[in-house]
Amino acid sequence: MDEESKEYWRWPEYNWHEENGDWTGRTVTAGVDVGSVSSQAVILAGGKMVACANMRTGHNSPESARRVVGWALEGTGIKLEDIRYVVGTGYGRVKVPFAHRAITEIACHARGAIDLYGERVRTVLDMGGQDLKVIRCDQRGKVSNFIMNEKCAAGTGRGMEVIADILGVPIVEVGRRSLQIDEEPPPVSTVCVLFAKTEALGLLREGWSTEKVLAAYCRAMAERVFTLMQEIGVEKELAITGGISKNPGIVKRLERTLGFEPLKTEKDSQLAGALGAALFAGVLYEKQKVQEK
Amino acid sequence: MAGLRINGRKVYFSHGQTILDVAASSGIYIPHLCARAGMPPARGTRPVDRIYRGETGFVTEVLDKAFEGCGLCVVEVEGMPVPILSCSSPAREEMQVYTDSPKIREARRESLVRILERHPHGCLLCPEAAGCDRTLCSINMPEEERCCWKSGLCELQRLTDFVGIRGGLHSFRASRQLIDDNPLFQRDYSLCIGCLRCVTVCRSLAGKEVLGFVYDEDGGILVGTRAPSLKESGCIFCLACVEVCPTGAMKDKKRGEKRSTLRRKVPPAVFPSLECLEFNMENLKGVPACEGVYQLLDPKKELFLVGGTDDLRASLLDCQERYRDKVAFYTFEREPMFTTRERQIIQEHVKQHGRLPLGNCGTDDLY
Repeated sequence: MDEESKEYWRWPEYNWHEENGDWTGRTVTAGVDVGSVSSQAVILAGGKMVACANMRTGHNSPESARRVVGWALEGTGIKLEDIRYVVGTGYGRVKVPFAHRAITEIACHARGAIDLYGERVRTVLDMGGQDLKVIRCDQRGKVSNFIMNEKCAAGTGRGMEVIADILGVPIVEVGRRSLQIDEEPPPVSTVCVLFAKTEALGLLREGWSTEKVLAAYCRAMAERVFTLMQEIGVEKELAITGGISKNPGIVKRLERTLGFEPLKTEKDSQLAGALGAALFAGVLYEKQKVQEK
Repeated sequence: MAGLRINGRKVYFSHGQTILDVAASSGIYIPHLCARAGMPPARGTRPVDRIYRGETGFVTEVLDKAFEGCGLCVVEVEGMPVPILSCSSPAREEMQVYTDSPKIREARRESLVRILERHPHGCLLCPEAAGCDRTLCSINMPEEERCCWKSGLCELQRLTDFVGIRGGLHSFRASRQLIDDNPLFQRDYSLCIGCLRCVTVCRSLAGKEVLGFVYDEDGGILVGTRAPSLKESGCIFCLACVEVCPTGAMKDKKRGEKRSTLRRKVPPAVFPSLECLEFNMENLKGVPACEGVYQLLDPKKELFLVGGTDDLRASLLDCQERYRDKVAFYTFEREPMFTTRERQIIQEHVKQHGRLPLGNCGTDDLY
């Protein structure tokens, strides 16, 4: 097996749409969230989600918006031009070129989290590709405070990719395997992703199993995220969004430290940003119609 | 009414006002740390025999020297040989005052360095400060050297942004001197810069003499209570001192609690207004068509909306149509990582106002 070319960072990309959907007569709006690692698109018809897509952002980031929307629309019969209002949210130096309006992803995440997890959400933890955000909001998803970290990779998707790569574990298995230990090891001495290779290889040489090293990392990262959450305060209920919300190794350890469980959703927690954007799009389209009269 | 000129502009004043008062009411910002809106100047306050920090008493070394002030409010007045301190200089008819010059800027930086040298200021100098959540330091600066809990809301920090720091500033490590003796507020004297605002407002607003200061052997200012406890010193817990403190030395323990009647009488602190342009077509046409972040301000120069874009001119022209009745001023900065910068500005705003800017989903109509 050629270890060099194995892509440990791969996670399942997908698109979905309602079977036999008929949206003639219904207003179609869309939300597009282009992130540093992944991009999502959510299509609403009459306020209800009828299609979505979740894929890697890739190198040609300005084109990502078009690709993810195109993939979401595939098989629906809806064309980009049919969408009445698009709200986009970007990162770094990328924006959604065909968006009618750009709204900050902070507002979109909170709004989307309410839809995914219910009105009782008051704190949203977003563990994204390249940053960590803790957002405080009310029952409507209106933001009252937030704190973010964009300087440190620990606890972000990119940080996880480095760990997965060093240990040769597919990223989708990192969490599950980190829980396959008899006793919780102490956390790694530094969460700094720059030193991860040295640290991890050292532990493996001492005889630690891969699972034990993963556990030590997940524990350190969960503690780091917890410290961030304490800075702004956690009010129940808590919702976790972003790719790492799917990592049980981090989530379970956070639960232990917090002393309670975050809310769960049946839908894809990574869609929060795009979903919030799509919901805003619906409201903005209605307002525009009223103004035009 | 009498008139004088500040930076060439004619302004009117009433007898008894200081130059700083006159400037503030005319919308001209003069940096100040020991002075504050809503109270007389702290400059000139005399030390007392003894102060307490908890049970520990401190005795004065030099009894007869009045507080000289922070030195930041210096201005130049035509006809006067040296700059004077505007907080305690009365305005006079026909005065020609200048609030900015290379000499004044240098004098302010010198005064600020003397204050920052004895106050943990590490984050102010860090190039990675924007976007840092300040729980983990990537440059390994010890916590005692970093900025305290009030970072983002701190008046001293805002003043430092305006005045600027000159080179040669030594780092400083604070060792906590926390006094937590009542349910409403705590004091950490390791963060105190000796501005005497608390002492002054206690006297002028509450009519009490709860706080005072003595000098230490280096001539530094030590603030504390007049008796071993707040209660014994006559404290009525109005918390006006907490309201006026420009650093993290005074901290509310109960957030969201209704403020006392006296505390609500303290007017807001005065800050420099953002440098901005009028939001009209002529100005907007001169904006470059490049990546950056713009800020739209309302007629009171309060932030309405922050936006990151890959084309400043196009976006601003679009905003002119959409927000023409809400926006009166704007400013912009070139910045390739415009979304990141947009979020940083939004975060600063949220920290200070408890909500997103109105134009960035800060209103109720989108929910």
